[in-house]
Amino acid sequence: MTGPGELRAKAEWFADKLTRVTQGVVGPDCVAFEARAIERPNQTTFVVSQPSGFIQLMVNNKPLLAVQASYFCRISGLGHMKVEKSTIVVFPFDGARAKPLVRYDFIDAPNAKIPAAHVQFHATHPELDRAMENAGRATRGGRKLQKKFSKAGAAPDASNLHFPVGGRRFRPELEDVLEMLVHEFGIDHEDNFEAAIVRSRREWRAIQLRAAIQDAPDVAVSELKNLGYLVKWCHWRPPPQRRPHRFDEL
Amino acid sequence: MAIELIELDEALRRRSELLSSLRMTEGDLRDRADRYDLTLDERAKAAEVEILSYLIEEAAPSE
Repeated sequence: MTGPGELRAKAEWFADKLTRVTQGVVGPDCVAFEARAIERPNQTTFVVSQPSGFIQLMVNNKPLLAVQASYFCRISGLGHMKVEKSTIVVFPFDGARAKPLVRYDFIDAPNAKIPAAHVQFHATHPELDRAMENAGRATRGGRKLQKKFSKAGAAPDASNLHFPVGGRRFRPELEDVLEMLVHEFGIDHEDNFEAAIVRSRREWRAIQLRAAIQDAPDVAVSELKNLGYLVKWCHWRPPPQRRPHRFDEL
Repeated sequence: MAIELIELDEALRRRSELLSSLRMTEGDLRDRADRYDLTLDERAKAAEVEILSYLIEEAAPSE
């Protein structure tokens, strides 16, 4: 069972981590992330997001882009925090209909054959449209595309494609998206923003690397031996095996 | 405050108010969001509705 203190500590840590990196990039005025949970005994789920809805990214003090980030999380029976779903969406900042530019999604248990971690681009590309219109029927995804475009007036849309990005362990995180946007769009930023990015990234990647080692401990052992470490299994129980459902998945 | 604990009734009330302010049902909202037929402000509210629905569903007693 998850204690209320455990959920609170993990939720606050995660919200603070996202706030630190966001404010470290765009400035202290950026609204902090908040975690929310329903108050009840043995609560295990919470969501972390920005109450204002968006991180505003400015160029010369004028809004250019808006980033929306939400994380749907669960505390496992062992007390580990797991992100069940996350979404990072980049929008152009204007008052018109908000078609995203790009979105990075993670779904822990996708209900279709799409990568758990994927990116969807919202762009027009005539050759890509043509390829999508001629998708084959050998897979569910291909049939879905065909069905979609066979409807009258339906046009191919690149955002229907889910491009894999690094798998669940090495998927891009909010700091990666923010850093790319700052560098490539010349977004206004704090002087020392890269320090905030690196601090957050190190924390995230260490967590993910630990999980990746658990997915394939034999690879970790082999590489540590290559580096000159002496690695010896010394528990009474058998050593952990690979987790193919994680190591092999898209 | 980095975490807000909400009573289930309060979450239901907030979701209902958000949908009223948008003048949409949750299904309509999802449909419009899928078609990118929302402004940024509406999309922020749609995200809030999605969050509340997730929390409400998780908190609802299992059958």
